Amino acid sequence: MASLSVVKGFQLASRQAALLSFQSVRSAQVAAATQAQERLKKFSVYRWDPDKPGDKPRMQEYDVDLNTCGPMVLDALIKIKNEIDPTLTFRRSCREGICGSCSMNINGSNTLACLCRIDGASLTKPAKIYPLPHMYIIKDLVPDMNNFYAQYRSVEPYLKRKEKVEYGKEQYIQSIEDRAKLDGLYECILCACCSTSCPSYWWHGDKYLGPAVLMQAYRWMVDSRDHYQTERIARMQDKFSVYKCHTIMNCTVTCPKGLNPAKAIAEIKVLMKSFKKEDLKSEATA
Amino acid sequence: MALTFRSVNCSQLLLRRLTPCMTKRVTATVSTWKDEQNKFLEKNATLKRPMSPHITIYSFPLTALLSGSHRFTGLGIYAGLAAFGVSVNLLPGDLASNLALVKSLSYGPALIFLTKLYVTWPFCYHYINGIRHMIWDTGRGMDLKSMYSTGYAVLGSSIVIALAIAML
Amino acid sequence: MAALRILRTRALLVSPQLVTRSFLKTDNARTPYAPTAVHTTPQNQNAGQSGMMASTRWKFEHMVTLAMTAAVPTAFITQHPLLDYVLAGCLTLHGHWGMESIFLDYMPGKTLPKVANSCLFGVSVLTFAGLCYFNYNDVGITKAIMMLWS
Repeated sequence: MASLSVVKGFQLASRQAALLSFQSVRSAQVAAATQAQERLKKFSVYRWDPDKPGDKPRMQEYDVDLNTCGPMVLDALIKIKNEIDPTLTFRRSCREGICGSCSMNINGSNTLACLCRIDGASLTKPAKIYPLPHMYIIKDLVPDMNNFYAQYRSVEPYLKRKEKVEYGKEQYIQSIEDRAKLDGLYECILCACCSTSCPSYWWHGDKYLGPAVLMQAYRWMVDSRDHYQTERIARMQDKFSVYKCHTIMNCTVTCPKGLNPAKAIAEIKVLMKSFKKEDLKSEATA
Repeated sequence: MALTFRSVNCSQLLLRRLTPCMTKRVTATVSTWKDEQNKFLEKNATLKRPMSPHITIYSFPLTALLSGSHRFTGLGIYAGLAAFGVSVNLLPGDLASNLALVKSLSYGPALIFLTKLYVTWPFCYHYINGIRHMIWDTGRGMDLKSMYSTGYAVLGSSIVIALAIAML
Repeated sequence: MAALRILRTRALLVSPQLVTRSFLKTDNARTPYAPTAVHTTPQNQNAGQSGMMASTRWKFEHMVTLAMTAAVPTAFITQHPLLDYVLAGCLTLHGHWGMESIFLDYMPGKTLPKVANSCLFGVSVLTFAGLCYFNYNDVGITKAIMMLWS
């Protein structure tokens, strides 16, 4: 009995020793491999801390090993926050390009960090990460979006009918052709990449609505189920709301969802050409 | 009886305690979008938040550069037109005599060619890009591919036409 | 007794509508909503603006641009003196509106654009007058350019 346990103990010990030696050899190999294969990419990120008195906006550099990082810029930012600098602040949510939270300026273009691949080919060139251009900064890469949201609210982005509405009674019928008019308009995730890429919006962010909001205004103008097209066009009758668009086209170039706000704005201008003040008055009294 | 009375009393007490959060009436001060915007402006002015960089960091695509050139050439043409319209009448004598004076200075043909090109190219570019703008105003050609192809076409054709006119 | 008390309190805590409402079929007891309240007055920045609408002005600008696109090559091909006047008018008008747009874009505040626009108006009037005078008394715009080119 005792001898059996001794034998068993010896077998266990030898097995453990073998396992330990194997593990040490393997880990040494792995360490050597990862050290040799470490691909460090520089990330130059805009930083500003409101809680630090007298702090000025600056660029901070981080080195990220791309071998242990996901392919997208958001993965790198999260890795930096987890492993290097927990104070780095940025917005993020879905990590799949549908929520619009992680919009920022990466290497000069506005895009979603979760959809922007890290350029692993040129490791020496730092990836420059800035917040959305010409926005008030709350902290680091987080801009104040309240003006953008207020402008969105101002175009009344909901269905409006001129008769009494009994919810749930019947659906509003829409033909396939009419529904097709909304394609390319409804997919907007309001990430604000386009509006903050527009120089007109930079100089007149308070009065010019910007491509994102204008595209949504058009989306409701052109919805056959909506009864207030004339009023929606009337809302645009001033020098700034639409007419500050000079077709610079930064918006369409930068949209991470592949939408075309510039075309929507051109269509609004076409609609406005045929607008008559009398239509508004007649519809109001009708 | 006493029990039911007490139960009603208890429930009333409970209701009163919960009333503030449950049956809170929506007050009449619902903010408009303008109020929100003003609040945004006031808040950011008070907090002195920095503005994120824009023209210094943005990588402008071809379309933006062409649009900027359109504006810049327009400005140049207006300045030239105003200068011509005002000054040409202030010169002594008519245009023919003044032209003869300039010709007598006998600038080299290269300088004359370059001057002609310098004056012609902005006008050609602005004119051709203006046609492109008017096509956009009808809603046509506003997809990315057309933007880039027509952009390159405008740039190329304006240079060719300007060279041709300058050589006349 | 306790159960009855609980039931009573629950009934008082929860609104009667919530308790009686069925989620499966439409509730006819609820009144239909009034038509959506809409701001029929345009919510624009120039609320008190009199005169033409922004879209009308845009249409004018468009028409002048179209006229000019046709006028410029025609003027140089035909060299008719009338076209010189058309050209003078169109060029000055188009330029004036373009400059106004530039000032509106890049000048901050309220008084500076107004001052700049007044100066611009003066310059445009002078330019147009100068060009018309030139057309009348001298060779005309198109002939002048042809002469300069030779």
